[in-house]
Amino acid sequence: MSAPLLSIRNLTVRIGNITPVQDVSFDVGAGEVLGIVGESGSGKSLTLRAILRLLPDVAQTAGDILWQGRDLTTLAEPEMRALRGGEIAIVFQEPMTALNPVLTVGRQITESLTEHLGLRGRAARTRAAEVLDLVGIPDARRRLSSYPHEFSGGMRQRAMLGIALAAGPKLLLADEPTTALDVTIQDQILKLLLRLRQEMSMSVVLVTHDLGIVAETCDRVAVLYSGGMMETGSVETVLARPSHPYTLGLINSVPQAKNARQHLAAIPGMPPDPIDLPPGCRFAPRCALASLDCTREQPRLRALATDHATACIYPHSVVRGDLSFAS
Amino acid sequence: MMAEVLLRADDLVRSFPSRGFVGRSRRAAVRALNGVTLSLAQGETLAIVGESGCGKSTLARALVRLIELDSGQIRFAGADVRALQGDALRQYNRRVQLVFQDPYGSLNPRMTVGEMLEEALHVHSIVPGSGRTTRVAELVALARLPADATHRLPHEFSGGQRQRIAIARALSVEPQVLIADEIVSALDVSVQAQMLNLLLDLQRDLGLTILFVSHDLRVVRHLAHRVAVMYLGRVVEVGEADSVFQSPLHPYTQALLRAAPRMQLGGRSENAALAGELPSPLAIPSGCSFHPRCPLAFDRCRVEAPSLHAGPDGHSAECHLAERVASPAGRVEGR
Amino acid sequence: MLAGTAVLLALLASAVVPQGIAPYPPDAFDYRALLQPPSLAHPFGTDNFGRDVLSRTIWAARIDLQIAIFGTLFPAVFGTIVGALIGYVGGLVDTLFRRLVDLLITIPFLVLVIAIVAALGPGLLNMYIAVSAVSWVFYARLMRSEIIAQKRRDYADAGRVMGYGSTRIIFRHLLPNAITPSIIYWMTDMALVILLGSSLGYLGLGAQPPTAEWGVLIADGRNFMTTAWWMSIFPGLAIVLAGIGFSLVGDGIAILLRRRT
Repeated sequence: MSAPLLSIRNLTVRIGNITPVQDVSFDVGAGEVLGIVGESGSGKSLTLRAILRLLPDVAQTAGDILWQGRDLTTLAEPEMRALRGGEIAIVFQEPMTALNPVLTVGRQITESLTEHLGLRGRAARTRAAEVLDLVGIPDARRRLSSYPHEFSGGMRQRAMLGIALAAGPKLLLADEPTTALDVTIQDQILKLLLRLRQEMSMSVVLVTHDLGIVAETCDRVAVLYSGGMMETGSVETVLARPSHPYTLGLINSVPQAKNARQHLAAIPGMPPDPIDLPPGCRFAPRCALASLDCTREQPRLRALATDHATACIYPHSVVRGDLSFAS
Repeated sequence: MMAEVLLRADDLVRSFPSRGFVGRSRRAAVRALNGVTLSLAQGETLAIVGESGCGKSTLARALVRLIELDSGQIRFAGADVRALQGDALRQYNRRVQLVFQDPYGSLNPRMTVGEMLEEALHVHSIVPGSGRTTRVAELVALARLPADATHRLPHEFSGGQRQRIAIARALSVEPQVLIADEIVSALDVSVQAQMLNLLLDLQRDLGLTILFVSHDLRVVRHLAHRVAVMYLGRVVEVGEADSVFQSPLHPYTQALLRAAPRMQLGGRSENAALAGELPSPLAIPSGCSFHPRCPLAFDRCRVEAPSLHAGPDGHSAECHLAERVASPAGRVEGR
Repeated sequence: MLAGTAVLLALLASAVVPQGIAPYPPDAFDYRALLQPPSLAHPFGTDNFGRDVLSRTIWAARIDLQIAIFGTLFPAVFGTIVGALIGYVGGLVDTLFRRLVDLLITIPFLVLVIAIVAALGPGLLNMYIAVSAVSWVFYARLMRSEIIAQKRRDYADAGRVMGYGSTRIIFRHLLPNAITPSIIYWMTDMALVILLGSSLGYLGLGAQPPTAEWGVLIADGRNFMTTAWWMSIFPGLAIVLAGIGFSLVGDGIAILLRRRT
């Protein structure tokens, strides 16, 4: 794989006395879609925000975040600001809270254009209309003067994408952009994302809890559990040959046609309390493969093959299907 | 095969006045339910599928008399549900229960699990005073909650556990029908899987009839015997689950199936499953309410609202094209 | 919370067994010790009749605590119940109630109470009547808004789906979740009612001399402010202390109740 655009190494975020993100490492290559999948408490949203240093002041970040070779953790704030919305853009789950309700959509786009591309006046407005058109908002020119609350849910998400992409970023960070949307609208937005990725030669990091979306939309995937990275690799490999019990558990939890009205091989128990983490591997208490070694120390991501890494010390048991959770 | 019909709804209509600005002469109304007809047979799981604004939650609440209807009929075991009052209504509540979507709001923050369950047993005189503690423990076990849950308050539990508390509460009155209003939508995937397993077991062990409201087709497919698809306040398609999923008749169902994420690599084709947005519920389109977004719409659709065309096996759809069974435009899983 | 409870306990003790605490009976005249400044024999000094101010202050606690309780008990209980019902039922009753509130808040509370007492005649009982007649509305208003907020929550609907009657839903389900602001208000109100009683006492409309009541004591000392400041200041401090005590306890209760959610 050619040099990755974004390289995260040993990212750790500490807030107070909990560590919601621990030792997370992954890469994003040019033009690829990386899916970060995890459930609540996995730290996926915090990871994303940490990249752009959008965490609250009380959060302490450690580790390396390399963007095209530059270390973002040591970048001066003005340069960081130039990066945000410039080369790296971010969209969130709830457009209504992420968009400024008192500014028109057009204004929010031109703001970005002015800030990052130096466009002003008519040139900016023209480009803004192009952007709205690009994201599929009909009647773009007129809608420049609409406020966020005048859009429907799906349209708002498109508007948010427009604002984020106005300056032509190389990387888009998307934090559960479709979770709050209806499934047909979600479908539209995901297809839009893929089309934009193509047209703008962009990379995308897509945070989601939905493995189905990962399967259909992403090239590579990283699985997070309780703040730790459990498995990374190409979507093909990870979904066909998962080598972490949690990944397998997640896959088994998704209802599929072939097992309709039968028991799902669900993962027993619940995620650990972040204040009271189990020793060693965080997944061990729920894992059918767990042994004493698992509780001794936190397993780290180890490469199994090119572009397939797992944090489980028994990856081959998972692959061979020796694993069966009580149903 | 033909089980007895327990609950039947005929042409339910309910509008809500829209909160228009002061001074607007026309007080438009939102038709949340625009003539809903369906039936629920003993022992089956009927899923109501639809996106936001289709009226499925309003339907669920109307069926338990939380919301009153403008017109239409609900019959349960022969009785007219809308006319029930006082004690008769209380009896109905025992037999048809509802579990809500939000596990954080549907439990009284100041009552322990034990208190909630005991109250139900007490008010409905289900077991004499002495037997209540035992029964409460049984319910807690039935919902797969930890044994010490009885003395704890809701805030000490996770979302998934709270939903199970809500289920235990609903089951405490020994209902025949359980209406589940998007009960897994707010849960993580792994917790959702546990919940689905629980529901399957409860149906098998208690002979429950379940009306499962959801927007997630995958979950619906996993649980339902029959499926009813709703759009803008009407049931646009209904039938056996296998039939609806494999041979959807209505273009909206086809679009829903195409749009649902599948565990299929690179399965997303270029074109969106369904174009456009949901029309404003204040201005429901003429004729077939789906026609503005329908890829198969033709002249008749704009003018004339279709009626339910019954296909074989009770699989029917409200579409002018359903007379000839449309070829499944949606990709089908696992075949 | 602890401090507040300590204060209130002290008050309670003073109220219940003043004989045990106070060094002198409240009406013991001592003509040889008129207007004495604070001393070992009389820590709060003596008044113009030679009565020990400390003892009178302690004995007054009984009256003032009674005022706090009787001046708030009826409005709190009646107002809360009525407010809960109005909030739940809504409709015409609610509209009428809100008009009543609008009417009442245009008139200053003290003026209203004084007017009623003036009409009925001075004395503590009439004061209780006057205060109760007006004050219940504010409790009701508070409970009404809380109930309206609670009845929108899903658990209220869940109660209806369970087949529970409205009475049970209002009082067993909604009320416990709605009551916290009312309790805090009640505590504050008790402190305010003491002040009210004292104000009326000062005006001669409440407790009548020679009854020891803090307001009366302050009034007694009003002509001696420059020469015998201790006659008014110490009872005044007692009022402040009582007020602080109630507030602290109210806050403490609020914190305790909040922990349950």
